[in-house]
Amino acid sequence: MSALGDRSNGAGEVREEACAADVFRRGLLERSKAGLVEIAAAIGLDTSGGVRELVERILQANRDAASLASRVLALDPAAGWGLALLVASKRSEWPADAWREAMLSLGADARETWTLLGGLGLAVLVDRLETAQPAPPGQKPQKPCERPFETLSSATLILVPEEILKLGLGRIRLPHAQSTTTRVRQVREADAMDRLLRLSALWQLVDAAPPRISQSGVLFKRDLDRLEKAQTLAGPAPEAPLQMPRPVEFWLDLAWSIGLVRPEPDGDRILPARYDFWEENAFHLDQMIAIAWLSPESSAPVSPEVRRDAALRTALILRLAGAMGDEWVACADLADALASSRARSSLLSAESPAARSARGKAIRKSSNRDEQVRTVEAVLLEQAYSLGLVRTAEAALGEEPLVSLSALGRYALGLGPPPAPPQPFEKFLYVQPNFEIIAYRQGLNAYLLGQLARFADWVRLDAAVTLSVTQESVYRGLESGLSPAAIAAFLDRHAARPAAAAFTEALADWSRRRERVIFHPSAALLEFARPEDLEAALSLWSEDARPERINDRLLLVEDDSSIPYHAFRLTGSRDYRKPSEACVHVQPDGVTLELDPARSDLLIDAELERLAEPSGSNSRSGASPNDPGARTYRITPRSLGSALRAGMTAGGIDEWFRRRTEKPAPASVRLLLLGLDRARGRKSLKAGREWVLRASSPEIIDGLLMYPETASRLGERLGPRAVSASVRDLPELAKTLAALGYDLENELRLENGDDDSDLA
Amino acid sequence: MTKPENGRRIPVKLHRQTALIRVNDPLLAEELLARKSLARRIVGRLSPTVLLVAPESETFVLEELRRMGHSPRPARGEGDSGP
Repeated sequence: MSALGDRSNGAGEVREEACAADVFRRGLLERSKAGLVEIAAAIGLDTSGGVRELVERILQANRDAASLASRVLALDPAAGWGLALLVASKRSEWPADAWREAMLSLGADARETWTLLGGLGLAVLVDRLETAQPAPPGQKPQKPCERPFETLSSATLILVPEEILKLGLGRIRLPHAQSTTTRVRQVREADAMDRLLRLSALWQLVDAAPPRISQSGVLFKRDLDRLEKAQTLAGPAPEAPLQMPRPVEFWLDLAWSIGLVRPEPDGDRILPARYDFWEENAFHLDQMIAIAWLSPESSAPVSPEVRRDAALRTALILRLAGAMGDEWVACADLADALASSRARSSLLSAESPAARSARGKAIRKSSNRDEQVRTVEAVLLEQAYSLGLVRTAEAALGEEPLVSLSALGRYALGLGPPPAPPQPFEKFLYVQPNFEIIAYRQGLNAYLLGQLARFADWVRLDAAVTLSVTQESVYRGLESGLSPAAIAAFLDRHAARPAAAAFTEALADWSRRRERVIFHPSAALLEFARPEDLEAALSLWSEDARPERINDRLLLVEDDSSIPYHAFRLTGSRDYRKPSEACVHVQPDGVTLELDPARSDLLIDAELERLAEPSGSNSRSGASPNDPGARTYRITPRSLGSALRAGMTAGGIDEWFRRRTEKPAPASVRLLLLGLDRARGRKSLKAGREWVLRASSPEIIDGLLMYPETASRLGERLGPRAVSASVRDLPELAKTLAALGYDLENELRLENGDDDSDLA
Repeated sequence: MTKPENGRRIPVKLHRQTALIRVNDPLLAEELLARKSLARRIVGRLSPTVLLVAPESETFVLEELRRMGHSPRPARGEGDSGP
């Protein structure tokens, strides 16, 4: 986690540089004016002016490379080591706790060194913005430079000016190496390809099945188990002095830090970088790996155990850098130095007695010599050796191992020229009849390895590595832009003898099979009103870039930036990643649906045909931009029945109406749906003959419905001045009304007892 | 790239971000449509060899095609990712 952003590309680096300078300025601004005056005086600057002027003057002095170099050379040795830690890891900031730990390992007092560097304007302390804690209510926030240095955590960064990184380690004092020797035997160095092969194997495994990151920020166990079973990634390194206990997480950490694998945006998976990572970074890959390993922190989803000694890595490498190229240092001597440094630092520490007592136990434990030897060996013989940064030897048969920086190690630290490239070995592989490729490591380099990994899977990483060419691996190569001819040409160029005819035929056959089905995840389609318009539009593209004709009114454009919009009049535009739009009008009968050709899309026909029947002269080829007659569909009991049988529900149909017509399903459609709902049984409607009594005013009906002798003979009120009455009750009702002074005018002249049987 | 001959701008409707399956043989399209699980995600047949896929069904359709033994080639320049 960096407070200074991503370092992944050129534009990012420019922003980063400006950002790092801004953060350094922020650190200076947090100092008191008196502190800034002291800094200015210490480096011989004018001490007049306000805070901002003093800060800008100090920054300006740091930008003067010659002045900066002479100031750095004149530093106390420990202060030089403090800067060297950052320069070696090519980072302008380190977490304060990791820097303190590394300084402790070098036998220096971190607090004193910080005070010295800070007093010369060569370092500042800043809190990370994302982890800064607000001060308790009523209290002034304490600046990091005001807090005891021993209490600073990884939430605080120690920063140096970017210009110091440009000085390089060659112009900074390095810690003295321990007792050295130049007479050694059995010099061993890791195979230069091994680290790249492991990373390439991881890249392929991640591509085949992207592992997932759990809530706790590490890989899910099943994914980790799967990767640990892959011999190409987790198998023992040939001839390594020691084997790593957690190889998968070690390589994953490095792959993550150099960008070979990356987190899925908005997801929890780890994805591989694009194939061109190998081409783009072939030349600098070793250096990128070294810098990633020397980094004191990482955001990779690995357990903290993997990076437990991260701060120690740079300190130990710096101790080796202090030796000359042919001088060797014993791991045991490094361990002794580490133990005594830690013991001495604990005595020098300005911690409170309580804190010192608590730390004392840990220090005593870590001062144990065996423990220190184990730690040094883990860092140098397991990790740095497998990255090619150190080589090993022994002074005499069976003696403890000696180490020194390799040519690559010196180059990665900026202390030596690039290692000599291996002798060219053009014909380094054999294509076997069983579709395996045997490749000699001497012929491989990062570029060729990346090319091979595109279309073949690593199977075994022995002295000669074995790859397997399968249908899936060839598809991966084809998807990355290779053609069967390009694969065959690559193998012809580097194979000691031509591949069997069956091999090249299989390549061609797999390629043809792959062309049988093409999937367009986000194509653009142009829909024309008339075939003549499509023909006219086709002439707008050059012969070699013409879109593909789908039918007489649709063109498929693979690259929508090639569409000549100036020649077109857009009658509609629809983005299929967005929710569908309303494009259907419902006629008053509720069952006739009319399609709006201007707003319709390619999905609507399929949707409509699932629940309605075409009526009139509908076309199946999609809505037409200039279709003068809108197409109509009709919902029938049969069409709705089919929709329900196909899995649609009444709720789904109502949702469809709301989405496509912006209204709920019409009553007539709901009527049909209720009729089709077998679960509720067959519905019945009751039909019967009734009289309608009409009165001259609502008051009369109100009274009739309230008066007991009339109310019992009346039915449902039909309106303000109308009420129903049963035919059977009519004679009695007429008598009652007569008694009340009302005449009943019988227009149909029906007699008592007329039939009122159900008509149903 | 040229302009229309008579200077008239051609009326056109643009359908963006559509998911399609394109096959090299109409019989293969029939085979895909006969697969029930796949047919449910195919919402139209734009031509004998081009099938329109329901939005947000891409992953399912790709996996289903692979389960059927096909090796669909993703069209270049559209949503490229991975190696």
